[in-house]
Amino acid sequence: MTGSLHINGTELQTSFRGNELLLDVLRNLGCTEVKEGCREGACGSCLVLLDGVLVNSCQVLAASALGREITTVKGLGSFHEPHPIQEAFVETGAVQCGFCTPGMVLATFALLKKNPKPEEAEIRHALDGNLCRCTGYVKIIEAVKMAAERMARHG
Amino acid sequence: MDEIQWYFPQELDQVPEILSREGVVPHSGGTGILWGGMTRVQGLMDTSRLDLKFVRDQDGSIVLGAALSYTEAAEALAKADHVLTRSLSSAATEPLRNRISLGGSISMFPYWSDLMGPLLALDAELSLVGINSGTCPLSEYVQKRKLRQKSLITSIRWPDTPWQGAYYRHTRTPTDRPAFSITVLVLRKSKRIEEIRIVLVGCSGRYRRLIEVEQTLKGAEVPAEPVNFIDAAAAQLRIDFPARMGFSAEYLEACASVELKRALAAALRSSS
Repeated sequence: MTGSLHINGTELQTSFRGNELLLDVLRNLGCTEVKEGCREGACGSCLVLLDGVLVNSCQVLAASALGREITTVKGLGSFHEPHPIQEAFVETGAVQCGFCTPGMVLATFALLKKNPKPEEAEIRHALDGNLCRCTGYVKIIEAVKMAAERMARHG
Repeated sequence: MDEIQWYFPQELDQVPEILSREGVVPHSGGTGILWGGMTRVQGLMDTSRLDLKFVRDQDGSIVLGAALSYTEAAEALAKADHVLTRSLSSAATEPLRNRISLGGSISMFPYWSDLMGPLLALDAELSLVGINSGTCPLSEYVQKRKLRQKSLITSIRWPDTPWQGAYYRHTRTPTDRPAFSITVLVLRKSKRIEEIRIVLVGCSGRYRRLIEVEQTLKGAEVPAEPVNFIDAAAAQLRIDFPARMGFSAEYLEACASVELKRALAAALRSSS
């Protein structure tokens, strides 16, 4: 089937099979910031925002994303203009191998959009779909708190 | 595998014709279709363009649109401190809760469902469109396979009774699928238990209303120190489990008794 996917504000015409996953279609289109991890919806490396809602792209059929706005981590910030969440992850040392980081950043973004001043328990709950095998989460939670403070200060 | 055909109806009137086609099933975004395998699926009907995401207070009932995700439903019911808010918020993980739909979860009804126990305890009723258009009790929908065929669940309704309740799920880690879950709903008048409903999901036969325990508690007065009272009620439990997820049937039976006591204690606390 063919159709258009809106990725980070850009409309792309593409074709894919009816049973193809959004994860595979995005990566085939060059969005390699969307990481392929477990392919079971358990690890959170492939997270994207679909119309602003956090989803596992490995658990979404690409056809159901037609005409919807898809945001990957590249849609939040870049190397030269990082998002405050990305800055907080770097500054707190919440990034080691970096494989889980795109998903962690997007999960943080989705949380802070809904709840700008989350308690630690709320942070843990919101990030329950993200696995990190390097940091042990302490630094990641610090990063979310730092990002929340900065975003609250700067609006 | 042949190419899967997708359908994107905009109106409910289009649904019966689409579902009458060979091998076409509804898809509201959830993951059940992926986990269940798509080998027999020839077409998918995307429900996202239908108006099935709503929350209504209607004639003394709460009515939820069947395409609501777990997150949306939990948030909508949060103000009422509803037992469904607790059960749905504990299901799976945040991004999966954002995708799993109420209707899809009901039609699949896996034993690890965090939705079905509360809905069965609430005596929920479903509205369907398709060859089974109309309404039917959820308990009947679960029992009769033909009701699940070529029909789309459009809404879920239950009487807005001021139940107090508790929901317990038996898992090894918080994001595990529960081996079983227990829902307890209580209506109290002072110390007296006016009404109580207890549903266990995950036993042999997928679920069971624990009538033998309910009968012990209904009409009884809750003592100030209820430990022995709860123990006596839980001792009435008679339930069978299949072995699953690394747990033996005997182990799950023992755990069910413990979780039942916890759920009863929590429900009686919340209703006092």
